[in-house]
Amino acid sequence: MKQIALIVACVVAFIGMLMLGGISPIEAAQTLISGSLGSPRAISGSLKETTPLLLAGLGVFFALRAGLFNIGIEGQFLLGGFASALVALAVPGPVGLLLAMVAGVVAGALWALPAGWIRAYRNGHEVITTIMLNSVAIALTDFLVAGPVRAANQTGATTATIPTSGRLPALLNSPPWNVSSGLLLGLLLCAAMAWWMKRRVAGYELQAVGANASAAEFAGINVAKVRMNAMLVSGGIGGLGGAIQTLAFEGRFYQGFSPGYGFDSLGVALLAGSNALLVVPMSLLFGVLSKGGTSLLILGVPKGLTNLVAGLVILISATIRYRKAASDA
Amino acid sequence: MRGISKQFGRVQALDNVGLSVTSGSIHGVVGENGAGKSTLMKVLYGAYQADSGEVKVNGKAVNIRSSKEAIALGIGMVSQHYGIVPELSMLDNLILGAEPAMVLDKSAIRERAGKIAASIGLNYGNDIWDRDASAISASEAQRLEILKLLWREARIMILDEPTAMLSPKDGEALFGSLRALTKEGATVLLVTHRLPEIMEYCDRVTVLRGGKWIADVPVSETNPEQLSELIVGRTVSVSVRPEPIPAAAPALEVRNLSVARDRGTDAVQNASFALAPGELVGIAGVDGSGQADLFRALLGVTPTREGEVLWQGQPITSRSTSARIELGWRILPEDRLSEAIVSDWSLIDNSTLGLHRLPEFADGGKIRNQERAAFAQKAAEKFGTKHGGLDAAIGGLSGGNQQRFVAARMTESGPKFFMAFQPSRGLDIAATEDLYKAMQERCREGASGLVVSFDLDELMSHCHRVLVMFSGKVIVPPVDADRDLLGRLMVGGEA
Repeated sequence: MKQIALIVACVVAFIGMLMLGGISPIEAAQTLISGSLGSPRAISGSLKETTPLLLAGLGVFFALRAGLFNIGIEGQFLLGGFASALVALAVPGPVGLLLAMVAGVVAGALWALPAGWIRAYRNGHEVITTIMLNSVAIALTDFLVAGPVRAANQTGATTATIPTSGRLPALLNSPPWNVSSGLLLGLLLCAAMAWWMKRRVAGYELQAVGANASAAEFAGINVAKVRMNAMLVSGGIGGLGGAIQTLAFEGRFYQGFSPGYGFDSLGVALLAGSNALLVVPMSLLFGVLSKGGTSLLILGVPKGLTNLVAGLVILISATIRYRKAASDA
Repeated sequence: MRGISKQFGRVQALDNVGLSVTSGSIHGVVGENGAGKSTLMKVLYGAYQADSGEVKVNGKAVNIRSSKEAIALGIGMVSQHYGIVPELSMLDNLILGAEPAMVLDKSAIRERAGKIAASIGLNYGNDIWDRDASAISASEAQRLEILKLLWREARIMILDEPTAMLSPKDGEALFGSLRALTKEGATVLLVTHRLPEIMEYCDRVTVLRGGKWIADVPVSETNPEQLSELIVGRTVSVSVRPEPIPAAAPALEVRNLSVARDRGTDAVQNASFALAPGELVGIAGVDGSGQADLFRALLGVTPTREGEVLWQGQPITSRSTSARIELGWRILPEDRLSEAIVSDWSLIDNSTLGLHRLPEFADGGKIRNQERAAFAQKAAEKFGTKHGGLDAAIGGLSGGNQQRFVAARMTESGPKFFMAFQPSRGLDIAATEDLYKAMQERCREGASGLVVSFDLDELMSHCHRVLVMFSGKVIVPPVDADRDLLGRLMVGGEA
């Protein structure tokens, strides 16, 4: 119910902004839909955009269920993508592929570790620490890829390209259709998370901490440990998202690797609310907006418009959460 | 104040209560929790509107609809929770919301502030006024609150439990200041549960009980024994008190337990007591005497500063909360919404909160859904929880129905030791009796129980024995202590 109201509000705001820019909403909608869903090629493009949003969204969602807002998903995504590129370049073939995915998970988790530790044991707010870690992640990967690990024969700041044998295979590759197996991994992970949250004692505990930490303490749940682990897993999933982005789509890591997938995924997770399965349609929504947004460029709509929508979602959800927290206190 | 009545839902908080205070005096208002003291004061300073009755200030009938109107009439309240902005200086806090003009004349403000401080015997110079309010102690904060009222030219001051956060020495200083004020014609209304304060500093005292006016006597014509009798009252209770349990090797033993507070004195001070198997023991005492801190420490939610807890002879002080739950320990916590339930969750999900790792409800790491649903059903039926389906959010239930459900979660999950904080809260008499019967039943089966209540009668008519907590200390009275003695101990009297 809350989610539907949010989506409607965002669509209205979106239309309002279009009209402010002097663009007919109907024309814009037509362009957006034909650009994102109008052809097999467009749909494939939307699904490509959906994949990183789905994975990063799942990462954010996981932490949110523990009551933590992991804004640092962008940084974890970057570090995961970066680490996986290095490993995939060092170790060729399917073994390298597997190791690269593991490296992505580990890098993302490690990048979330300080924020998790500070939150769990020193009560420093994760929003502040993860925002700071994002800046460090962007600067660090930019630096590394511009200098130490830059490919020799490239003009831009990028790693070398990973050979096809070390990449994630396509699930469906018959042009104009092209769907990566990365999307399937995301869907499987989503299903596993939904099951875990509903059926496992650990999932129950995680959500108890998120919903009422002091009651969780009275219930014998180690709140600090749950928060720490939730942040690690969330970062790990973000890192996996980065790894899949590298191994399925980009084939390398470079400056500007993520156009803000991490930030959009905050909106995805907030819209999904309490149901992990809803991360799928929400990431699809953002994926379509992102792909269609490119087509809107022709009409003179700036590309950042989807960010605006994501920003609105975050703002509204944060307000709702704040009001709830304030009334609970 | 005459004929004041106030109803909250179905609770008659004040029933035709009168209060008459002579100007230039310190007037005490005493009563148990829920007696209506705070409600009466809130009516006086405009936080609540009385359903009926009239308020006269200096002989004129007034209608006070907000604290702003109250302060305009010279009535101000210093509450237990200070309204001080830590980022501002003392002086800025003083004038906040009552600035004399759009453009502040700091030197004039300082002059008047100094005079006001002097009127209660404080010599505040610029160095003190310019201090950051974040750096001040509880007693300084309280004085600042009083100064704020004086700045607003309050002539009638209400103080609600003013010494709750103060050391005895600071308390004395506070009353010294109040005395100075009354000499200049101000009037002080003192809400307290500490009888020594009444006896020492007040001119008259009004006693409330259960929302009703009980007595109004000059302090010089009464004594603590008579007052505590008036406060607690004598009501005939229906249930028969169980016979004391013969002495046995204790199931639970607490030795010299101290629990630290954020600052100041310990919340629980050097508590020692023991519970025999099968014993139901009450803890009497006014709210905030450290009962909740004792429970939290016993459950392992907050750390103990010193001392030892033994369960069946084994020290368990360092064990985690979940380990204690595994031993069969259960709790009905103080604050239901923040400590006992997750409001957004269903009754089924809430039914095993805290029990969720027990083998009955978890098969390895897997939730045993059928067992859980069956338990939720049983817990809802036990005390007749009215609900709209076990899948519906527990937050939608009334407080009393939530209480029935979480109480059953404690009594029906095979407890070996249970702690119940104000178990009868929100329950009618019949449900209260059912709940105590269930607790007594568990005790007959060998469990031990601790029950905190602010209602001495409730404890005396259901428990084998009653302990008393007063400002962090656990007092173990003789098994046959009568209610006069217990009532005196509850308010810091001597045995």
